[in-house]
Order: sequence, then structure tokens, then C-alpha cells
Amino acid sequence: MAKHTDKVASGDPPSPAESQRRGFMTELTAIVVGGIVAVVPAAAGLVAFFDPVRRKSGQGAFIRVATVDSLAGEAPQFFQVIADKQDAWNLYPKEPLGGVYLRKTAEDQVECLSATCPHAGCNVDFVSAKSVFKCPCHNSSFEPDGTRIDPEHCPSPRDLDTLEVDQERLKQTREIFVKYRNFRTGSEAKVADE
Amino acid sequence: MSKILQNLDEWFDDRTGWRGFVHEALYERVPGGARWRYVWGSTLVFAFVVQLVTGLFLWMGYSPSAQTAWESVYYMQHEVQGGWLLRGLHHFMAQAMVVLLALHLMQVVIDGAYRAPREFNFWTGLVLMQVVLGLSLTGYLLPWDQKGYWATKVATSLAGIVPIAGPTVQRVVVGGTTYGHQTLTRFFALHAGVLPALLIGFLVLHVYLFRRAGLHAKQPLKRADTMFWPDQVLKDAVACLAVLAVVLGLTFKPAVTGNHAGQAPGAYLGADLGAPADPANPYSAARPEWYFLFLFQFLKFFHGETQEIIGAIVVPGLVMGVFALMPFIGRSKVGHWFNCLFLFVLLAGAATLTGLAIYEDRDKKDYLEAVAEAKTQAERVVVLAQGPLGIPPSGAASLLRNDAKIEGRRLFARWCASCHEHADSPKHPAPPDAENPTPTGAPNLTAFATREWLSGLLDPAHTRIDSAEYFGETAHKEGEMSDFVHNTWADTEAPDVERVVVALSAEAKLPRQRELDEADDDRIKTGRALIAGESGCTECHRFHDEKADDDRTAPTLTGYGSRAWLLGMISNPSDGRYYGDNNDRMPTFAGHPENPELNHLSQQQLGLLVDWLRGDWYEPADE
Repeated sequence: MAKHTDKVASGDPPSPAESQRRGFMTELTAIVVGGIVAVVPAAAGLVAFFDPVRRKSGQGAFIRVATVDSLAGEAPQFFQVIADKQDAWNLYPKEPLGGVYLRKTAEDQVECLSATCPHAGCNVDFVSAKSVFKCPCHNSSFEPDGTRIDPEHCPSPRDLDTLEVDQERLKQTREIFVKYRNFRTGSEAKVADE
Repeated sequence: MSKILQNLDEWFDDRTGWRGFVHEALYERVPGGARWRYVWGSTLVFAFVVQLVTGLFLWMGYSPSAQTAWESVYYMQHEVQGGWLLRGLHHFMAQAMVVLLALHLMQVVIDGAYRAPREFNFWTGLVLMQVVLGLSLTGYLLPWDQKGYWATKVATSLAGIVPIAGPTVQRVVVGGTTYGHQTLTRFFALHAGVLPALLIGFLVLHVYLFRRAGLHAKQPLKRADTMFWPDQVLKDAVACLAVLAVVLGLTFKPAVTGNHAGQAPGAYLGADLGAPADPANPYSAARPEWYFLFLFQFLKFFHGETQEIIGAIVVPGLVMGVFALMPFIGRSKVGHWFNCLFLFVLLAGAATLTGLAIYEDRDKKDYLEAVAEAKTQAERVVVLAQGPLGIPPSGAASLLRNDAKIEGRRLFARWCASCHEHADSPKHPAPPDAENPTPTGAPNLTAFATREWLSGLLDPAHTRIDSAEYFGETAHKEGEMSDFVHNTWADTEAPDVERVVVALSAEAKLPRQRELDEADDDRIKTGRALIAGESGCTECHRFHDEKADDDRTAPTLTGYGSRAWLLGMISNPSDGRYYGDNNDRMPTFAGHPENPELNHLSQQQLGLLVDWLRGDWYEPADE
């Protein structure tokens, strides 16, 4: 087999050190142009990647949850919050969004607590026998009105989150409309997800 | 500070040897100095890296299933910020890769860079070419739109004709006998997993073999040797920038060439997204991507199973065989010339076939109509997806299937257009006996039951009732209604004719006339009184005065043109409320309420057809 060889170049190649010294502008231009072609596609991807940051939660409207007459006694009762749910491209009609506890505090007054523990986002249970809310994840305990039992040792940084009830409509129609929303977990301040 | 950095650099180099790696990567000798003709390989690597990066981000928003693939791509295109740019980059860079492949191949063959000791380098390049084409083919299906769906169906059918293993291969690739979830999951795994992994593997091998043999310099060498960094790197980077500029140019082209004021960027920039795939709605405009058009055209010359095997399998196999043998054929000067000639004949042939395919389609009426229809549907489904009902869990294809504007029109074209005309409907396909076509016959239903339509019907001065627009080609031309308009009605004063027209049209409660009807309350009341009284209409027609033993034989005017009236009329025109025994050839489309399976049209289809005739569908302005 014939041995393959390229024709020998005229002159020896410059040393790496010489190449580095030579043509600072060439190097700089190569870096800048190379940087541009590398950054553009990555930037396009990152813009789309961070889309959820600018997207609004879409929560904050009053949703009908129950009627006053469906509440028995003073103990908090669990209700599902059901409304149209937009999940990225799909619109699911009448889908459970989450849960709340409703408690009658007077004949025509209702208090609403989010069923989500402010510590890490688990759902709290109301233990009727002891009349306390218990979080099954890290044992945070709350009174029926949502205040923490033993706040110094309670893992939850704040009391259960109250949700606004449309008191006007409640008086007029005895229907309970709740402004359902999620709040940031793990913080002392109650901050709604926008 | 600089001492600390120096120490850190020393430590890092000691542990990783990064300086040696960078040196190895950048200080490759370039015999004869940097040249533009060496940039193609680097641009291909760049294009692949762009595909990896953009593909990875697209992956984060993609959901491969028959109910979510189109929907997630729609979301990326129209809802996610910059999603259209990401899709545009990925789509057009894929096309650029095919062009760059051809250029790289040409450069390698012309320069004879396939010769010893670079045979394996050349062969790995051929494998890489197949992998890139495989990526294009699998990627085309992923948006799950009509063009991708039907084009891929053709491609996988071709796989099925391969002797012995073909049907099995086809079934494995498709994930069964029908296209659906499994097809998408498999194509997606191939597109985002298997093929990129193969590409990376062969690319590493290709670059290793290239570095081992060294750059094949074009003779004669005109300048002194140089190093890859920085001269050749700069040329490569500028070439990559040019590729990127072309790709961005194609992505932004509609912004320059069209007027899109008020539209969101996703509506006109980036890559096309057709209507969602619908197996029940064949897509006559299905064509592969432009770089496969030559093969599409080539296969038109082969008929029958055996010939098709020759066209789709044997000939491409032989071509690849010649390519694989090029390093041996090209050992002699004559062999090298043969290789060059072969490549150019092949490229010229492919270009000719591509041109022929485009040329044939250019004047093909059916194809052009199908393209226009596909565009209409693609735009309409976005309007519906952004409407108040959004995309249901059953997927976006159901949006079009339940849309009166699209589906009603399609139903009209299929069931009604052979007799009735309508300005917004495609014409019914020509009858088999084209020289002696059946007369269309029935009235033109454009703007049926509107004031304009009824004005024409009841126009005593110009007797349009006898024209082909109305009863001219039906038995009713000689009927009592025609006689009534000619004689009795001719004596009616024009304002009263108008009042009757306005009142009768108001019975339809047409959405397009809602405002007019609301403004004409008084005229409608007078017109109703005229219809019920002195006009003489109720001698033959019923009008809010239905009786049990009614023997009037003309269609009821109660709710004339309304949804309920049209539903009843189309279901059974021979019903006593409509034409009864005077029905002239209009078929019964749903005359079996007790046994709906015997009906030509379901209640849902009837509803869509009627809503289309009435112009009753969702438009964003309605909100």
C-alpha cells in the first residue's frame, strides 16, 4: 500500500508561544465572535426556561366552596375547592384545586383556613378527638382557629393561613365564596404566590 | 493577588492537566495556513451544539403523547416567552445542517480528503450524515401536526416495504399498527436520546480520526503553516456567525416580508406549526421537508411493490455503497474524477428532482387548495386554543372537530355541495362523468335566511326566484311559490315587501344580524303582522299558528332559518313541517330519530353544519 503523505509545508510552523503572541486582535476577535455564536442559542433557551418566573398564578378570584347550612357544629370541616384549572396548555373544567377548612364562628360568619401547612406544604388533618390540626409530615400542631400550639417548638414558622371569605355574599345568599390562593411556605411572613 | 491566581492555576493544571488539553485542542498544525474551505466541519459541529442546546430547552416544554404533543408545542410557540425563537432556531438550524453536510461532503470529495489514511474518517462521516438525516426525519413528526403526521406516515410505510424485516421494523418504529402515543414516545426517544448519542459517539470518533491523520491540506500550499488557534478558529467562528445569521434571518423573515401589526410574535415568527394531527382528516398537502423532496419525487417514477423497493431501498443503498467505496475508487486520478462526477451528478439530480417536485405542485389546484385549507385550520386552531374554553384534556384536534367554522364547512362540502353552492365552501369534487355533470340544482345557500338572501327570493321585480340561485333548477320553478312571487306578490308595495323580509329574516336569529334585528323592532312587528295577515303567506305556510290537522304544504315560517328550523329541515325535508310530499330530491340526512345509527349525519354533525350555515361560531371579537 502506498504510504500517504501530505506535501511538506514551506517552513516550520511557528511555535505555540509565537502564535499566542502574534495577532492579539485575531485572538480577541475570535473570542468575541465565538462568544456571540455560543451565547445566542443558550440565551434563547434561558429566556424560555425562565418563563415560569414571569407567569402569574391566576389565583385570587372568589370561588364558591359550600353553603353555611352545610357546616355542622363549630369544628372546622374540610372542603375541596373546585374551579376551572389552567395547567399550561390545558384548561380543565371544574377540577379540584386544593382544600380548605371552614369553621362557623357565628350564625352568619365563617372563617376559612388553608389546609396547607405553612412549614413545608403538607396537608394538615383536623383531629376531632383532640380538637387540633396536625400536620402529618413534621408534627406541627394548630388550634381550631389556626394558631400554633407551642410556637417555640412548632416547626411551622407561622399560623395556618387564613383565606378571605366574601362576607357580603355570605349574608345575602348564605353561600361561602373563598378567595383561594397558595402562600409561600417556610417563611414567617404570609406571602401569596402571584 | 496574581500570585494566588497563579498558584490556583498550577494546582488546577496539576490535578486536571487542563493546559495540555487546551493545547491539544487548539494547537493543531494547519498546513499552508488557515483557509475558508476548512470551516465546514466546524460549522457542522457548531450547528449540532446549537441543536443540542435548543433541543434541551425544547425538551423541557415537550410532552410526547397524542393528546399533548401538538398542545405542548403550541404552548411553546404561542405562550412561552421566546418559545418561538427557540423553535425557529432549532427548526432552521436543522435545515442548515443538511446544507452544511452537503458542503462538507463536497469539500471532502473534491479535495480527495477521503483517501488513505483517512478512509475511516470518511466512513464515520457517512454514518454521521445518516444520523443527521435520521434526526431530521424523527423531528418532523414530534409537533404532531398534520404535515408531520402524514409525511411521517409515508416515510414509515416505506420502511415497511423492505423485504423480510420491513414489516417488523415498521411496527417496532411506529410502536404498533396505528400511529399514537407509542409512535411519539419512540420517535422522541430516537430523536432526543438514541440518535444524539450515536451522533456524539461517531463525532468523537470522527474528530479523533481527523486529528490522528491531521488536516488534509489543499495543494498547493500557498502560505506558511500556522496553528488552528487563532487564525483558523477566527475563520471558523466567522463562518458559524454567518450560519447563525442565516438561521436567525429565516426565523425573523416574516417580520420583514409581511405586515403583522397587532399580532403576538408567536403567531408569525419561528417555525411553522400546522393544525393538530387528525387521522380522520387526510392531508393532501403532506410533503416531506424540502431536503427529502427529491426522494419523494424520485419515488413517483416507481410503481408497484417491487419497483418501489428498487426506488426506496435499492437505489439509495447503491448510492451509499458508491460513497463507501470512494476511498478505494479514488486512489487513481481517474477514480477521483469519477467520484467528483458521481457526487455532482447526484447533487444535480437531486436538485432537478426537487425543482420538479416544487414545479409540479406550483400549478396543482388540489395541492394549492389543500395548502390554503391547512393554513386556515392552523390559524383557526390557535384562535380556538386561545379562546375561553382553551384546550380540553382530549386535545386540540377536538377543537377543530367541534368547530362549526371548520367542521361545518367540511360537512357542507361533503354532503351538500354537490347540489347547493356556497361562496365559502370548496366546490364538490367533479362527478365521475365530467362531460355530462349533474346540474347542481338546489338554491345557493350563501348567507341563507339573511335579509339579502330573502330579498332575492321575494324580489317581484327581477324574479330571481326563477334563477339558478334559488329555484331555477328545481321543480319549484313551476311551483306555487314562484307563481305567488310573479303574480300576487308583485302588487305588494316595496316597503311592505321589505318589512316581510326583515321580519322573516329575524325569525332566524342570525348572529351576524343581531344588531340590525335589535334596531328594527318596529319593522319586524309590522312585518310579522303582514306575514300572518294580508300578505297571504299563511295560506300555504304556517307562521306561529301551527294546528294539529294542518294541511298547508309549504315549509313552516315559524323560526325560519333558525337553528331548530334548519336542524329539522336537513334531518328530514319531507317532514310535514317542511316540504312534505313536495320535496324535490333533497335527501333525508337524519330521518331515523329512533335509530340514529341509520342516519347519514349525527346530531352533532347536523349541529355543526347548521351553525356554519348560520355563521354561528366563536370569534375573538365576540368576547
